[in-house]
Amino acid sequence: MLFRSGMLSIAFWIVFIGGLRMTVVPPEDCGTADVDTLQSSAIAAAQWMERAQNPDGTFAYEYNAETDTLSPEYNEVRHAALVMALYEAAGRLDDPTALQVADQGLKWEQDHLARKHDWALLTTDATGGSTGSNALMLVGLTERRSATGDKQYDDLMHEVARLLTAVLRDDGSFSPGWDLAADEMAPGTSLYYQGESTWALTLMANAFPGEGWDTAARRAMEYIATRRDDDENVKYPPWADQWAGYSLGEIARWGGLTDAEIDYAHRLAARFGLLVRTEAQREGSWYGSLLRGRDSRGAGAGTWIEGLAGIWRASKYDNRLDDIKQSIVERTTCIAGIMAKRQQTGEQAEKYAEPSLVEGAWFRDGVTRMDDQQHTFSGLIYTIDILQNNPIRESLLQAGLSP
Amino acid sequence: MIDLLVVLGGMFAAVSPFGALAAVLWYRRDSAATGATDPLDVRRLMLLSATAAFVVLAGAALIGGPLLDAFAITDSTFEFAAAAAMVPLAIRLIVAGDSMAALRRRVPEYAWLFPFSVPLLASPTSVITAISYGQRIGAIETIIATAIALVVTAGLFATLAFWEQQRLLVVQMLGRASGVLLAGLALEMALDGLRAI
Repeated sequence: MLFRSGMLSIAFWIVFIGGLRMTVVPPEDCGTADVDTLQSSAIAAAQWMERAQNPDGTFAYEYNAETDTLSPEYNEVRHAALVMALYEAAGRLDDPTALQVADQGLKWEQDHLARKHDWALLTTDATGGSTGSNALMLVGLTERRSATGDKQYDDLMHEVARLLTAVLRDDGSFSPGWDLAADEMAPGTSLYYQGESTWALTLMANAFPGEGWDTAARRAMEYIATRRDDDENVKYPPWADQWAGYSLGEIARWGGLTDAEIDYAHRLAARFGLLVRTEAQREGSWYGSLLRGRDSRGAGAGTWIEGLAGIWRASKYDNRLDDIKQSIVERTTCIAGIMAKRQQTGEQAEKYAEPSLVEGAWFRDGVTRMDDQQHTFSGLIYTIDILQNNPIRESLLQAGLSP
Repeated sequence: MIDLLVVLGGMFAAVSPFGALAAVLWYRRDSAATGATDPLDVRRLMLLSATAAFVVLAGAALIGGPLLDAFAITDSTFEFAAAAAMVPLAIRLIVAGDSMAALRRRVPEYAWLFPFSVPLLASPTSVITAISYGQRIGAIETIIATAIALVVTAGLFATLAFWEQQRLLVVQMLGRASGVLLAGLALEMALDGLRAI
């Protein structure tokens, strides 16, 4: 009786623990995340972005390697983000080709500017422009200034920054854009543009201290930390917003993050951490892969790296984040290592019809999109900062020079 | 101090002294009713089961880190497993009020070690809980909390004569309360796993 009961109990726990292992805690695998590996991966991604440029300054938007077809779609927000990443490559990887290609992309943006009131608006159809594309164009311009010290676009930066403050409401939320026909800000909000615009204003404040951009940035950050997810009906808050992570990193450098923002930083880091752990489980075993579904695309996992790296930067300036600093390092390097491992190598690319659009890219279901490379690239270079314990983001400041 | 109280609550619920006491009382009542020889020597039960459980659980708290590394599991993710592992015992306690509803009869010579120390005091639930708290809060705090929970358990076993004079329902209700506490801690642990990085 006892023997049977005991065996049944043991059998139950073996099955139960085996089930837990299979479903709840499958092994996690993070790959290799040393400086050399990540730098090689970032260089390969930057080279993909350089090769993907079209003669008119735009980029290959989406490429299907299985069918060797390019998507006819385009998106100016992602264009601006890619230009931004190339300026990062110019400064951080000392890559002159990246600068040249990014300047071509910037020229395309300048060709699509509308000027009204005292600001400039990137618009592709002359009916209006999105806040997000303008914010990322401004980020790109700050990156260019930081990479080169060249101040020729300072006026344009101020024009775009003035647009951002023109669409910033009193409660800290941004309008999703400007309606040129009605000549007024567009109604509603955008889940994406809020963080992009906040970050752009923080970088503007860094580039031009004393001009008051920091006040607007703080107001926008406070909105993100306290109200944005409710207003946007985010089902499982906080929304995994890497732009907010970047913004926290910059504002922490100035000092004065509020308690609500610190709490938000904790919650945001936890959201990214959960996503990374799940991704590492996909990587760790066949059953983890089976249960967790297909791999995340570069544009997804790349943003987790970016977001975590931004919060890590914040933790270097604000000791209220000390408790999560080490975990952030572990998760960031984990997902960076995974992404470096998943990147297409030159040898793998040779199997496809257009190897130049395969090598250095991240594919899912045979398809890569420009932001797969952009987000992951940015994440990788900021992970290198973490590995080198370097909280300074700007290239020239890293070199001990003033942009 | 708060950390220690949290671990103490968790280890107390996982070890479940009142659930164990209820199981022992059931066993002794059944033995007496059937006229069977009672192999449970109270002094041995008190000393050896608590000591054996302490060794197992303290060991789990100490080697938890390398063990999780070996199985490639992050601490935060393991909290989900710990929470899940608490559920069967919580259900057993809430429903039956004792930790060994299915195993409490006909305990042989080595009852102090098996099944009392393995499925009951140092059950998979409490081992997993010890690993989880060892990682989340600290091995020392977990060992101290485990020691306190087991001293309480030994104290209950030492006063078995007193408890045998009480209505079993009282002890079962205390066991059920442990089950509710365990279910609450499982929820807290799962939420902490979500909040952890």
